[in-house]
Amino acid sequence: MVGDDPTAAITCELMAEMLTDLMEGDLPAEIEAAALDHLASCRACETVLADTRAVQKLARDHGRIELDPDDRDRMLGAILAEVDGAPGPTRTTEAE
Amino acid sequence: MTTGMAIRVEPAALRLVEELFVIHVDAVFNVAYRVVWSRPDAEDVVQATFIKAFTRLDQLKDRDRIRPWLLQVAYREAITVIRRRRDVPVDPAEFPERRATGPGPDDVAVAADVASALGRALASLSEGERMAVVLRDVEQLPMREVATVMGIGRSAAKMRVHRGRQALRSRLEGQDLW
Repeated sequence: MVGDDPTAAITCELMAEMLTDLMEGDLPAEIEAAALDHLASCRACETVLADTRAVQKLARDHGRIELDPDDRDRMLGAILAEVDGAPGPTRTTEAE
Repeated sequence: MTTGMAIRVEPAALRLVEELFVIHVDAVFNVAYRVVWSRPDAEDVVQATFIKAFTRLDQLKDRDRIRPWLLQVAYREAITVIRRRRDVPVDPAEFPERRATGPGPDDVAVAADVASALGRALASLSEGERMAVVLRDVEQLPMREVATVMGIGRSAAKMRVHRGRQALRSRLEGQDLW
């Protein structure tokens, strides 16, 4: 994603392309340093990064559909019903 | 969903799969649900995934590979489900989101609103971008496992995560969610 001398000119367009590489820690050290320099002086790119991190956090905190114990037991019961030699369904929930 | 054919298993195998179920059922369900957008269909995918686990126990001895293996099976099963029902589209806007929790009623209501907004935004993504974001940001898989589950290279997985996050940012900004 980066040209011959990326540290010379990190543009906003380039920054947008590198955002996930930066967040994943996948950039070579000198390019990462240049990207961080760009972010320190570019309000727009800094906002994009902050908002992307906010989206990431939102997904982590609110993206998971929680199953309740009855859901789990019903599903495990259906699975065990397919298995020869399995006992009846048991509670799957760990200490509540 | 029933196969109509009982699978004979040893007690040790049974214990292992039950243990895997307890640990991984939520992740398997979430991967399935974000593809099929139907709770009964997602539960069928969960069932098919763990039944397949009974028949592939030799592949599950390496503990590090269990989660990506189960999620890959679930993802493929879910894709099969939506291909099979191509003529019966499900409206993602009608999906029930998670049961929100919080210390008080206001917190519960806010959490439910946030989850619904996020769910609608996720539903608007392409299937590949949505799954990449679900695996990386919701299920917190490392990028190499995202790639494994989706059957693509790490660079391609990272690109889908990137595009998915930016699409979510675009759809969710201005809603006072952060």
